[in-house]
Parts: sequence; structure tokens; C-alpha cells
Amino acid sequence: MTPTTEQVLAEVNRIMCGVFNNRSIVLKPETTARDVEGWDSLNHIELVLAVEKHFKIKFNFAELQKFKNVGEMCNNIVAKLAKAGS
Amino acid sequence: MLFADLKQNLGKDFSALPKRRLALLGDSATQFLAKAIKGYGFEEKINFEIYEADYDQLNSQILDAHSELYHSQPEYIVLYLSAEKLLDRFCATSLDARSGFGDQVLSEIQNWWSTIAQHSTAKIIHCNFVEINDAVFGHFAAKVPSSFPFQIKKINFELMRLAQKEKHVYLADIAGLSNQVGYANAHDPRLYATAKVAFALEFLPIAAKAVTDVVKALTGGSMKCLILDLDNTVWGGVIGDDGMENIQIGDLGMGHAFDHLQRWAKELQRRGIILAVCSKNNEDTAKKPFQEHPDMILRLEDIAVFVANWDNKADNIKRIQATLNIGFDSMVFLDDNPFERNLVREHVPAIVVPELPEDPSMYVPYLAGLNLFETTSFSEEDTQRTQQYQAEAARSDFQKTFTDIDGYLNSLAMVSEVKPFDDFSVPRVAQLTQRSNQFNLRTIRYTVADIDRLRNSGDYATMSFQLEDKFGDHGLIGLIILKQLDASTAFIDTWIMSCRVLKRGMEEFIVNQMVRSARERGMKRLVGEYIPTSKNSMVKNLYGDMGFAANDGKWELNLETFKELKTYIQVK
Repeated sequence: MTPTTEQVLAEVNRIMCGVFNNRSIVLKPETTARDVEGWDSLNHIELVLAVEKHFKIKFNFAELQKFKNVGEMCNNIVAKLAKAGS
Repeated sequence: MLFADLKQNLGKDFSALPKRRLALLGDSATQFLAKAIKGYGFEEKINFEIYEADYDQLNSQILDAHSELYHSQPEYIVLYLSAEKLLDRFCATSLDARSGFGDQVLSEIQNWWSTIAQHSTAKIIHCNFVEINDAVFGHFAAKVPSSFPFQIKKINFELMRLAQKEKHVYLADIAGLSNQVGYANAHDPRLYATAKVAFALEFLPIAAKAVTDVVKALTGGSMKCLILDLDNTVWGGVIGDDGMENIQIGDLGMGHAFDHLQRWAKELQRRGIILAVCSKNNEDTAKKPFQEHPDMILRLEDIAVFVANWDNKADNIKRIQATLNIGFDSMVFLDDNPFERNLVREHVPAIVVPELPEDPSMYVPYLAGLNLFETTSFSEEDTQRTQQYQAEAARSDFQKTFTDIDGYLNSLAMVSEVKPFDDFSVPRVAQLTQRSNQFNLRTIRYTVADIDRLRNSGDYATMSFQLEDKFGDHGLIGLIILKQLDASTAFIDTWIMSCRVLKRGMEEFIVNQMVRSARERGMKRLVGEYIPTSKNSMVKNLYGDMGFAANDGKWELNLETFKELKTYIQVK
């Protein structure tokens, strides 16, 4: 069963709270790095690596450059999981 | 340790830990490495106060006498140059200058080292380069001095030579660590491409450990002594039971795994680590292979203090410590037995007790990974240390006891299942009667058929003993065969116990159970006998110790006046 975008968003939110060491972060699909305090390039890459590890997926360099907001990343994750599951 | 764990440590309370001022300078993004070092410090009880220079500011920070670097008054300066940056620079070097590329880099590094020495008393911890191959020449690069692989290897080699001449410079062998895990695990191209972090997240704790190990050694935290258990640690098998000919070393059984450990211990001894033995054995039995076995690599003269007896190991280690007069925190204790490891950890908290893998062939690879014997000096004197301590050991008094063993045994929550022999236990029981030599009062050997006959005869009562404690199940570790001699006398035909559970109150527990069984049959006396062999001298006083009275070459216990012996083992 491939999870929904909402489920993936909730997981990403949980992972981010851990990486940023901040439990009060609430992500929405339209959230961008500018909306979250401390979301710099280093935290960003750490988040990406943690997300990869959690979902057992890999983003390529181009994808990482392309995501405009959290929602795009979550959609990408769902697509990857669906492909892996099929 | 994961990087995420080290990051978690950053939120912990460092206030009680000793401060060490460390400066970190790199030509790639060093924020993660700084966090990793800080977090790893917590594991090693060091509060690193880290000054982190801005990205790629080595020249300005080092060459300017009034820089923030020197203002931070570091005790340690970590210089960390990435191989990836080095490759960029190499590619920007004109072809005719490439053969001299390494020398150019080395002269800059040397200049940094000497400039730092002018402005600071800090010790330099210089990370060598991960040795990447740019795959331009393939393997042939080794024969092309103007290739990158040739130059980077040359730099690493020359760094060792240059560091030998500089008292304030220590190298962290990042190249060696990277070789162990592989470049694919030491470097993450996306992490480097997006954030200029040259170490993969998985590699950061490894690099942090390298830096911390050197700092620890520089602050006097070096290990000085390795204490070795014998049975199943230095050789395979139990010498008291198997005999010297059958212990596994050399070509016998898993012998080569134990050879490997012995060879490693011998090399440590040659470089000045004191070796000690702490074994539950008769001293003569334990020493014999060191003197006579042709395949033994360790010899008696390699061992500074040799302790083999049946006392608890925490006490014995305290005696070894008193003899050597070095700190417990500079001692490492190797033992295959988790019970002994935990006992020692509990009573000697400062000592380092590696959690040895179960597979002996993994002993040395595991121990090598821990890098326990980091040092910052090596001299002629180190190689002669063993003899000095052997002389000291000969003078010292080994009688004192230190340890609250009752408290420890009580904390183990030991329970024992006591059953008559059953279909399941008979083969194991027969095997124990065949193979046990040390804790075996009469050494009568039985076959499976013999045991079946005994347990179905009305004249015998049989008991098998299993033991488990909070650390796990030890399985079937003892057996008793009682024979009814007459209307009021039970004779202990067989009493065998595993030496692994010695002195935990199992002896007392077994006596209590024998008494219960004999009383149920209306017996008034329990009679035991010790038949000496070449291997069972450890139990020659057992019946006396358990309160039996000597009577005409045998031992007798009056069941009418017997009071239950103290033990911390409960019936399961």
C-alpha cells in the first residue's frame, strides 16, 4: 500500500522536528524554507538524507534543486514509493 | 554511533565535564564535523569548546597573529583539508607543475605548522587526505608522477615524515579510516555538491572519534594495560576440562582466530602495553601452555602479572591494579564471558571492558575498530616495560579482597530450574559426565544407556540444574546423582558442575536441593566422596566448605541438624 501525500507529509514533519530539534514545526504542502526558522542549506541536506533513510528512497541531485516547497517533495516521495511498490 | 545520536548529545549537560578548547579549520563546510566532535566529546566525557573558523579561512586565520583563531586560545587546532578541494586545485594546476604539486602543498602545510607554533602553544591535529582516485589514468596512475593519485599518496606519506620532526603536530589518519569504510561511505557526492560537506553523515562520527582519540591520548588518557582471560579468549576451549593438548590454537579447531588475538596482544606488548592474565583456573594448569605448548604465541615472559585462581575477577583485577599501580581507567579487560564482563564493569567502573563478539575470528577486527591503544609517544623505554612490572609483581601481596560479592550476586536475580533427568536432558547429562574434569567430584563416566538405567531404577535420585540470571540463560550447568545406600543413607554418586557458574552460590544451592531430595526419601545422612584426579583439585575441599564432616576418607552431612545454606539462587 502506497501511503497518501498527507501521510508522507506527517512523516516528513516528524523527521524534520527531529533534525531541527524543534517540536513546534508544523508543515503544510505550501511550506518553503523561508517559513521555518533555522532551515538553512545544512539543515536542509540533513533533512533530505534523513527522509531518504526513512523511506528507503534516493533523490537525485536534479530533484533536490527543483523542489519548490514541501508538497512537491512529498509528491515526489509518494511517486517513488508507488514505483517501488509496483 | 550515528551522527543523529551525536547531535542529540549537544542538548545534554556538559557542565561537569572538563573543558578542552579546540579550533577547527577546514577548506570545506565544517559545521557538521564541529557538531560531531562536540557530541562525540560527550561520549568521552570531554566538554569541547570549539572555535570554528569561517569556510576556507585557513590562510588568513593562521598567518595573522591577531586572528580570532589565536584569540580563542586553542589547546588543539584541527586542520582538515578535503581531498575533493585538493583535486579541484590539482586540476587548476598547469601540466608542467603537476609533478611538483605535492611538494607545493606540503610546503604550505609546513608553513602553517611553523606559523602556528610561533603564535600559539596549541597542539596541531592534522587530518591526512582521503586517497581518492580520479580515474584519469586508472591503475596506471601509480607509474605517472604527474597524476593525482600519485601526488595525493605522496602528500600523505610525506606528512608522516614531516610530522615526525614536529613535536607539536599529530596526524589523524583519516585516509586509513576512509579505506576501512570505503570512499562511497566516507563521502556523499550530493552532500558535497549541495552543501560543500566533504564527509558523509555516516563518516562524521568516525572522523570525530579520530580527533577525540588523539586529544584523549594527549591529555594522558592512554591505555597502559591489557588484561586477558584465558579459556575461550586467548585459546579455544577450557583447559581444565579439555587438557593442554586439546585447547584450540594453531591448526586445531578455531585455533587461527585465537592466534590472531595472541599475535595482536604480543605486538601491543612489544610497543609497551603491559599484559596481564586474569583467569579462573588452577595456576599450574593455566601457565602450562605458556611454557610448553608449541603453538602459543604469548609466552610467560610476555605477561607482567599472571593471576589464575578461583576468586572473583573483580578482586583479581583490583590486585593486578594494586601491583601495577596504574589507574583503572588505563586498563582494558578482555573476557568472552558476559557474566565476568558485567561483574567487572559493576565493581570496577573505570576499567574498559569491550563487549567482545561471540565469534572469536571477530575479536581482533572488533578491537582494532575501537582503537583503544591510541598513544602520542613511543620510546625505547616502552619496549622494556614488561620486565619492570614482572619484578614488581613478584614482590606484591595478593591476599586482600575488595569486592561486595554478595551484593552483586543478589542483584543478578538468579533462578535455577531443578528437575530429574528427562528425555531431553539425558544426552547432555551423559556428555557432561564424559567431558567434565574440573568440577567433578568422582569423575565417573556414564553413557546415555547408563543414565537411562539409573534414572529408571528406584535406588537413584537424579537432578539436573539449569541457571539463568538477568543477563541470560546459562543452560544446564550442574547435575547430581544420588544413590540410596541403606534405609537412612544417600550417597552422592556424581556431582558435576560447569566452571562458568562457579562461586555464585550454585554449590550451596545444590547442597540445599540434595538435602531436600534426600529428606523426602526419609534419609538421615548424606555421604560424599572426593576422588582426586590430575584435574579436579579445585573441588578437593568442596565438601568441607559446604559443612560436611570428614569421616573415614568420606564426607558426611547429618540431615537432622542441617541448616539451609545461604544462597542467592531461587528455585524456578
